[in-house]
Amino acid sequence: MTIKPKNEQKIWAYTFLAFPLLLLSIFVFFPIAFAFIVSFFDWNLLIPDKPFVGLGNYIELFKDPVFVKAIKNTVIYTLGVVPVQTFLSLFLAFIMNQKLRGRAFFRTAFYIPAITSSVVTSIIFVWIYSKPGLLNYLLSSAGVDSNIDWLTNPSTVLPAIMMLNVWTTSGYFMVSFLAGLQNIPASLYEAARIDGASQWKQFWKIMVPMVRPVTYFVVVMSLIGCFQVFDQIFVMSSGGPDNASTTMSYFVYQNSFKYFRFGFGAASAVVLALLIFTVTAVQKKYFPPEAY
Amino acid sequence: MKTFYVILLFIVFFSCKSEEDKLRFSSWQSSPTEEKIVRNSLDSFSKEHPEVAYNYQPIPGNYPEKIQLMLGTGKAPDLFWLKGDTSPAYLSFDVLQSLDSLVNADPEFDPDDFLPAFKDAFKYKGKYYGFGKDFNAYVLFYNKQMFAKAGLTAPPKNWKELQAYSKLLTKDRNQDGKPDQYGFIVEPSIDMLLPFVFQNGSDLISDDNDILVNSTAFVEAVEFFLSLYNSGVATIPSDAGAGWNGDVFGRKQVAMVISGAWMIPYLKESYPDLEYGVSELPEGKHKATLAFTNAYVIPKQTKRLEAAWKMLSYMAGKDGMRIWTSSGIALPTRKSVAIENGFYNDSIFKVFMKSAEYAKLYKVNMQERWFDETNAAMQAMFYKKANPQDVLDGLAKRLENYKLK
Amino acid sequence: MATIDIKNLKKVYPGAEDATIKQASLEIEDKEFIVLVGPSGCGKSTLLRMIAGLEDITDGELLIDGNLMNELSPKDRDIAMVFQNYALYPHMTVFENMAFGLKLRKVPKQEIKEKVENAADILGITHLLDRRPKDMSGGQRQRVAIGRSIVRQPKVFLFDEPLSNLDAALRVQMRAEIKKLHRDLNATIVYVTHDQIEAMTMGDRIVVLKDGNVMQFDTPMNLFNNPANKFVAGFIGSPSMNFIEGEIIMESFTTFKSQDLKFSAPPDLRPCLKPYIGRRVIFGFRPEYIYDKAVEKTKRLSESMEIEVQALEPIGSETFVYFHFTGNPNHQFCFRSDSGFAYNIGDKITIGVDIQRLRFFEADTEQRIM
Repeated sequence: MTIKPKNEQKIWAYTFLAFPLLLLSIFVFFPIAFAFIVSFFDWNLLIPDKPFVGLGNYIELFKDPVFVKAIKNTVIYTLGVVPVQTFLSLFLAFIMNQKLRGRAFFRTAFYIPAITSSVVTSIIFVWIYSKPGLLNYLLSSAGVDSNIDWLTNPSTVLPAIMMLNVWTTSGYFMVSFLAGLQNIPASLYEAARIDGASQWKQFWKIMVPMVRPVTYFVVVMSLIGCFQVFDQIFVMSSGGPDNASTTMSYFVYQNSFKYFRFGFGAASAVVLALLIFTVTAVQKKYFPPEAY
Repeated sequence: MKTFYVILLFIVFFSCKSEEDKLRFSSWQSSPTEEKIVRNSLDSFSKEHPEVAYNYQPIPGNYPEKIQLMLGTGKAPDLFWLKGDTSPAYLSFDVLQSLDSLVNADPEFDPDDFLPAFKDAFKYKGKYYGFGKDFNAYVLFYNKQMFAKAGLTAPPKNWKELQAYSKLLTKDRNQDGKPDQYGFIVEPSIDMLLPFVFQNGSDLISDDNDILVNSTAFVEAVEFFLSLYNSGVATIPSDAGAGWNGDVFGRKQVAMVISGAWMIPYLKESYPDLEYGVSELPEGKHKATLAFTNAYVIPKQTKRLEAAWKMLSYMAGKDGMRIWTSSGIALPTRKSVAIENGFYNDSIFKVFMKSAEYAKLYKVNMQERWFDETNAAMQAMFYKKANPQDVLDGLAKRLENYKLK
Repeated sequence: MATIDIKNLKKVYPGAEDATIKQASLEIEDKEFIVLVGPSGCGKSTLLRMIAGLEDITDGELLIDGNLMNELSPKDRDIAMVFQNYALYPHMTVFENMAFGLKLRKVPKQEIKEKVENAADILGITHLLDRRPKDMSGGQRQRVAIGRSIVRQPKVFLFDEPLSNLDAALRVQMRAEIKKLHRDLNATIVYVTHDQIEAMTMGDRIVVLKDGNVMQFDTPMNLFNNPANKFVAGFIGSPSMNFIEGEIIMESFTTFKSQDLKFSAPPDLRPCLKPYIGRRVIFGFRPEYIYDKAVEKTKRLSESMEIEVQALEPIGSETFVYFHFTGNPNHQFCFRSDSGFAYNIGDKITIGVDIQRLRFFEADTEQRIM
């Protein structure tokens, strides 16, 4: 019996899919499932005894003041960074889309922070944010008396890291928006101009609605990135002072790799994943990506 | 062409195989100097024991996490360094090899040669799992020139003098409201606080497993420590834009600093013209200071116990320790070595040796999390200006959860 | 009143070597329907956009109703524009699209509603007011685009090739509708197209552009019958005018001589051509005015020309006959014949041109002689 072409295509399709699927399963799906299972055990890597504790880890999580603080910090971080980042990168893209002199230079300059190692930028900013650092120097020259270490002050450490994150990733999202902007036909703006729209009105009434699919993408990616923020916390503040900058992913790291409590850490990771999932689902339902 | 590849495969296979027979030894790596000295010691070990083939794999970062992972996955090195302060957790997990039988069978090891504080540092439930290979202790470093300028002839001997001298040595020369020289420097970290706590007769946790952080004596020590910073006679590294207190001392921005022997090579290399003196810590109600020690340990899962012991007994033995401590990077825990290398005669090192006699080990019998919880409390008191009694009461409650079972 | 005065308008894009519009001077009357027509790249859209204010004016003056418009932004010129690709706001409904301009000018809500519904009624799109552009056909979208212009009741309507994206049948229908709209609105319209048939059927007057220059500005009939130069003559009319280059010589009478053809000029034309004896000229004759001498007996025709049929294109009411002069098969010409006569390829025919329709152009300047 000869294999009909259609079936043959199917076989090839599955063959080609098999290898990446295998990789994904081993390195992504399996660890996720395993972490989920581990969260129900008191799992210490070095102790052979790993008793089943059911929801014990989860109950302990919500009684742990550091975890509650971590949730609070993560939410504040996300609520602060996502809108600012989205708007800033849209605004930058809008400017970059005009015919300005030195456009190519500015585009590159805005994008470079995004491709620089986050550890490198964090280390540089530790110095900038220090008491005798660049930020205080600039503020003092502008007449603002500022003599604090931004990273050891509990009320400024999280905003400082948030600003760093905005600076780092806005360039990346600017590029996404730029692509979206260039898909808007120039004639739409011209029609708006003739209708009497100022630059500002054009921005709000034409550009922002038309660029909605990109906005959706940027917000989702930004949300996910913010919920998972780790590098900067690890390098710059180690979650301090007094857990003022401990985020949920940092909490996961601490409990799993420093305190040897994998089950507990896994449980906190599961909570984080559920949080991200819920937020994205809500966004999809109430703020769908279609522009029109 | 085919034969070439077959031969290549054989070579690779066999070289891998021979790798497998080598002893694996790991340590952390705090500086390139340290690595060089380790390798020197290993070289002389090889001369003594040429039959032991080994592979030295230093781990430059995240050492505790990596060792933990390797232990958990069965890939631990046969011999590795263990920090004294993290040892309680490892000992309670029962992942290390007890060394008693090996010690007893080795006449040259001489365990009683160890200074008492460090001999039992890694003893657990009556058995020995490691011996301190070197030690460090907190002593007082002071800037001789600044003292002379202020008319002081000797370092402070008690808390009162510490406070007074700090005040005297805090100067605002350019009158801009910010001192450009501080008398003293502290850090919002538990190890800097502990000498004061010990000197006031307290500790983090008693031998009976009672949390003492909110006891009167402890709180008193904390309040004294904090007052130095809050009254403006002591600074903290982040305020001075430095990574650690040694940096501030080297830059001549502080007159006195509490630190360990690692300060010595640092100052020699980075600030060679700084004239400094070393003295024992000023006394509180008691004489006390904090000591740190690390050990060579062998994991239970090792398959090369004999070779590992050979290396351990050499490196922690008299010969190995002699080589290791002659560089000045750390102090010997063996009395014989200390005497031989002249540690009791050197003006600076004898201060450390004296301190070792009454030092308390930095070793807390609680689950790992105690460290972050305590540091968070320190940060709250320093950066949030929170009331110490309230913070410490809260800390005591939380630390109840982290006692070792 | 909405007159448009264009005086010596010039447009050079920054960094460009040549001017896109070299020199345009036009006087457009109130309520005229003016068509700008020409081949690709002639500058017609640029000229329209300069009137709109979407392009800067490099030199010259633009006046609408006697007021200088050069520095004014589009919204202050009281103009409205219909784009080739409609440029409807995709995320708004038809109503919102049409109301957009009025909303920006803070017109009261009730008034907006009236104006939009009125315009929708005129264009027959009232049933579409709640729809989005993506849910409509091309023709409907074009109507909405027109509607958007109407609601603003501007002085001048500008159309930039609005029918180019529609299919042939729809185009014909929309042409008529736009003409009717012109009568109903009683407004000045400037309309750009590349289609000369569209231009001829719609415009009161037509501006023929080539390479940024105005070739001729005249009524359709004048452009057809009295083209100012060879370009206009060849551009207007379909199939286009036939051209033969040759020279005027003296041979008993003033004679046109070219490689394939030689004939003496009709008596009426001789005085005009006499000054050109010895010079090269271009002889132009429209396909519409060529007649088979065997059939046409009534008209006054020129001297006979012998031709050979090369190809035939029957279009129903007529047949386009493609021919060459005997002896020169490379140079092809065309004439229109009633379909009643059946020709075959290879047929030899004797033809003549209506002597009132002979046209001559100077070879060097391409200007019409007569």
